[in-house]
Amino acid sequence: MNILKYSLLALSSLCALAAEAPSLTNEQANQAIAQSIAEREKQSIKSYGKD
Amino acid sequence: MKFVYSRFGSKKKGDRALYIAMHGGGETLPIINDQQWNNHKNLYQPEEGIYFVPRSPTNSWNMWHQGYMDPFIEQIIEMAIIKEGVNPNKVYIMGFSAGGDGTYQLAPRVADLWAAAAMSAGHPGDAQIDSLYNLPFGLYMGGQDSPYDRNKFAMQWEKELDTLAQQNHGAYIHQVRIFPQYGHWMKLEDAMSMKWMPTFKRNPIPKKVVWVQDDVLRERFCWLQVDSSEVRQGDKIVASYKGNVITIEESDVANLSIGLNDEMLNLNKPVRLMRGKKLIFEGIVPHLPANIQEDVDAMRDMYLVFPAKLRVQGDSASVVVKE
Repeated sequence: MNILKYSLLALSSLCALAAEAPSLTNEQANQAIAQSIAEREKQSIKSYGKD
Repeated sequence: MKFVYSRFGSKKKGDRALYIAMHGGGETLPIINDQQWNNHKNLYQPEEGIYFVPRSPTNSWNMWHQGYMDPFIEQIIEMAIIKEGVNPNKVYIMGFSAGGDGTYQLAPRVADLWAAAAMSAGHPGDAQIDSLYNLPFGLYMGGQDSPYDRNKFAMQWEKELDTLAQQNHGAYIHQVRIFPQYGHWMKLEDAMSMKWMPTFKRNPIPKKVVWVQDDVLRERFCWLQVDSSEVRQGDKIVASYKGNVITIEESDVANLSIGLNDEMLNLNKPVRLMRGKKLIFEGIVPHLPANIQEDVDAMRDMYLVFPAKLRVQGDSASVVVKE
């Protein structure tokens, strides 16, 4: 009974995780890091000035 | 904050070094600190890289290690990456006299941003040596530099670094030179650091981290993260990873987050997290966009952005999930 209970709990946690935040693959994560850093750098250039 | 910088060598963009060099002076007239800044502009010359010399924002004894320095350093590094093609794994901190005081303090406090550090003729104050675990530290001192016992403190640090290096194989790399013939001014013999420092590059994801909080509290260090409202000066965390197992070996802090990426572990397989000898998490840790954004927003460079995170709360841990 307990096994079933904890299995359902784990399953519901996984479903909640999937619903709230889609997981990325390694490659997608690396692309997302590069894009986010590039975006931040653009904003920084705007804030600090070009020269 | 005023600054000047010079470019040396012909390395291509993306692989240049950055040297942040802090001038002497301190609790004195602004004009004296201005003179020190002017002297410092050409004091040292790297073979390659950007030699960046800021004018201290204040004229106080602790001008290089007050809280304003931390965001300033992060901004300098980011702009050096953007404008000059600096490699974030080749950023060095150095300083003379009051700038040496600053190096003693900033080297361990922000050790996750530096590739190496060089301290000349400074006083350590309450600097925390332990956090230098992964940071090569150069210490240069005149043997007759006795005001404030600078020479004695240098000898004490040399002993402590020797002991720590013996106790921790491969860690606490250091180069200490105490020149018996000199007082405060070492006739630029300390410039030997400009050849020693660039032999090192930062490893942003070291396998073991020793983090002791300074009086200026920090929330991130390598792949560890805490909430500054839950820590105080002197709090220590020692953590490591091997295979797919992360271990919190020691922690004065109950709650912390652990950042992970695929360079550190195989995130396609279950990760185990130990607190001491107790297993507190086992499972898959997903890469999530919100984790990436959080680290990017915190001004971390690309090597310190962690797509997967675990949140430790006391003796339990869970995957960090955010909208």
